[in-house]
Amino acid sequence: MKKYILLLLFMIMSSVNAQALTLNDVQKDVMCTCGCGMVLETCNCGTADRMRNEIREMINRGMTKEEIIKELQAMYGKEVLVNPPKEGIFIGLWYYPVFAVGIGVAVIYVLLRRRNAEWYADPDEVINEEEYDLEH
Amino acid sequence: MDIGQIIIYLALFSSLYSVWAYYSGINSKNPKLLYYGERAIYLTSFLVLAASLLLWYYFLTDNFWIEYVASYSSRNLSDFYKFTAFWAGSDGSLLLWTLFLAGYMVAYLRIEKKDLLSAYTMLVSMLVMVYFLLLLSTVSNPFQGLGFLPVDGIGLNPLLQTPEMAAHPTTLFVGYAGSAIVFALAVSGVLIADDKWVLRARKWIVFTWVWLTQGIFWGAIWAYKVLGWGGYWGWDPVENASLLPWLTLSALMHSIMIQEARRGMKLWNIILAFITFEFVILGTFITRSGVISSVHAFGQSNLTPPFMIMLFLVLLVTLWVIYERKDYIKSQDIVESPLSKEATFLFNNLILVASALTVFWGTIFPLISEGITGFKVTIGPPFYNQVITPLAFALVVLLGLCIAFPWRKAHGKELVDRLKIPSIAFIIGLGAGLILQLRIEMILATSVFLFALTTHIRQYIRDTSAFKDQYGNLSSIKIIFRRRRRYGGYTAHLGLLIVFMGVAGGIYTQTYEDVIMSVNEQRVFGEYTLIYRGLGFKEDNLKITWYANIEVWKDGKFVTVLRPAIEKYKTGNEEEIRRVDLYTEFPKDLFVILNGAEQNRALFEVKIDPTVNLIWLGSWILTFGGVFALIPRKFVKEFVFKSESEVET
Repeated sequence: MKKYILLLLFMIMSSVNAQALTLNDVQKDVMCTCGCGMVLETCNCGTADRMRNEIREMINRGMTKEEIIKELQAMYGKEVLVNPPKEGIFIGLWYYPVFAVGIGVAVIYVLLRRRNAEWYADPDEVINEEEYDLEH
Repeated sequence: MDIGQIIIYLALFSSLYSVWAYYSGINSKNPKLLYYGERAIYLTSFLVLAASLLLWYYFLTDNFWIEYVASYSSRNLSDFYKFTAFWAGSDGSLLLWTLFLAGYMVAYLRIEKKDLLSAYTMLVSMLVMVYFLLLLSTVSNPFQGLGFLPVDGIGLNPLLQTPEMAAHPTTLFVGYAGSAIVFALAVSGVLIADDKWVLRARKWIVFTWVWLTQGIFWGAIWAYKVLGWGGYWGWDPVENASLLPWLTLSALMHSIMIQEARRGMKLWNIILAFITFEFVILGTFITRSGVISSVHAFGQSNLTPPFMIMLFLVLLVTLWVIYERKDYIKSQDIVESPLSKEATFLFNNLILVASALTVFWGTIFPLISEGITGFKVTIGPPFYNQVITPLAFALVVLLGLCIAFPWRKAHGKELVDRLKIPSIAFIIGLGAGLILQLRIEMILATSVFLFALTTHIRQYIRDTSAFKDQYGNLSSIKIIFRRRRRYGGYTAHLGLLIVFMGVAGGIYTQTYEDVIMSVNEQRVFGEYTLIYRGLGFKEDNLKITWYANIEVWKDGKFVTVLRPAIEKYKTGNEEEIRRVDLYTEFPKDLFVILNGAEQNRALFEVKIDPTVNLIWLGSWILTFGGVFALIPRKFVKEFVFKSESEVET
């Protein structure tokens, strides 16, 4: 039993930090760099554990969230950010949904202005007619 | 060459013959050739089934001569997981995909009429079958020999050794394969310029949608219980890939009703069927190619060129059909009034498709950024949460409105009457949220939920009463079965509303803490007191398990013992995974993860998600709604229609 417990040293046991900034505040905005594609908050691999320790150390040093993320970016590159900044080419990412909805609303506006539709069947009832047809 | 490979080759030849027979039979109007084409479908399906059974046999008998078996199984694996290891890798899962497609085609031949629409549908479906059999014969051969017999296999990834993983890929692939039939029906229907395709496609759309719903549900459960991070949806590219076809198929399910009622939306409907199928191919591709990093992906492979070709061919076929039948699909008016169910369906389509395109954009954006800036940017949950949240809220409001609005035209007074109670419910939701001092997002979520919920309840009662008059005092239950499509839809909406509340509750009111506990130490989390009683250990021939014993107390009474664990597997890369444990008090979960331990202390992650079980409940209701709408008329005709001679004649 004891030897297995000794084998089980996955995590560094640091005391829970009582400061306002918590590990979770930072790790939800940072990617794990092991290549798994997961947010650090949700990854349990060895790389994630190491990164969490680095963040804990930075928190203990009194760094702000912005300073920590800047530091992590310097260490691991832009890939460490969960989301790209709202600038440059990345503006397309953030404003695309607004653009898509805008076009859709314009199309619907045109469709709603044309009101000469003909009524063929109640879709609720068509199901019975079609299946009756299939049965015979 | 393995016998399995020979069977796949035979299936490929048979499918090619079927394509030729259908094509020639349609062109020459020769029913005999169509009959041969049909027989060839049965033969192909039988051969695909035989190949699948053989692969299962190889897994169950530890035939490590076969590379795929050696890669995903091991001698110490239980028979159940040897069975599920069939789809643990790319090659086997493609065979499973093909098997389900074969099942769909056989079912189609047994159920549907043998007319021109069916002939074209089978031809297009068979072309998809040829594509998959080509993959299985070449770059994705599950019967590839290893060339030597290893002592043991590498073993199954521990994360896949869960019952949920037996259900998730299978249900999702049934949905994926169904999208091929929906696409085939849409292309065929437009090609022969007959609106009949939407009537026929309806059941295949709903059936496919039901399975996609189940696939997403089981994937979420798996992530929640197995991945060990306490969430069910991480906006991972592979998760997104399963959501995309569900969104567009949901849109199609609504917009075909407009084609049934108005003969409009023909172009839009074929586009939705096309996009859904393209998303399915893309999802199958993303999971296998490794082109986008994902925790769920099988890894790198050489499948990129064939999948790119397939995506392009499907696009080409669709564009050709649209061009060829441009007169048939020309734009038609679809509303008489903007205050109508048809109009709300347009907005519903807008939100569903905008959501799908947004999720798609976020999923592929890393590739775009790599192409332009040289580095592969990551798109994480904050992006999706920010852009999808407003769309989700709007969808819930629309769920309420589309139920309240009648077909054709609503009159102002009638509409005010229908929306009076829901509006009061909305205001009550706002007031209650403010009194309870909930977060503003949670207040809004509760309010729109109550609005949509009361609209449904009110309409459910009102419709049943109105139909009672129409059908000459038919009992309520008979009315529900007669109008099963409508009530199935209402029920599915109800399920979606419950899922919405489950998700909102989790996002806005979940509590979370990382905590180190010494042996016999007590900690309070919400209304629970947790006492850590030390570490346990057990070993079997597959893995070593360390588990923490945590007593859960509530109101001074002992409730249960939770045993979150860390497992170290002896096979493969000796992977180590967390097994979470949870205590459920509906609708909430107390969720504990063991993240590490020493002799006398352990590190835990403790979460309380107050509404997570609403998601599971809602998903089942959503599924039930779809299944209810699918009940064939012949199952209920004795019960419902017996006294209604006008329907029988």
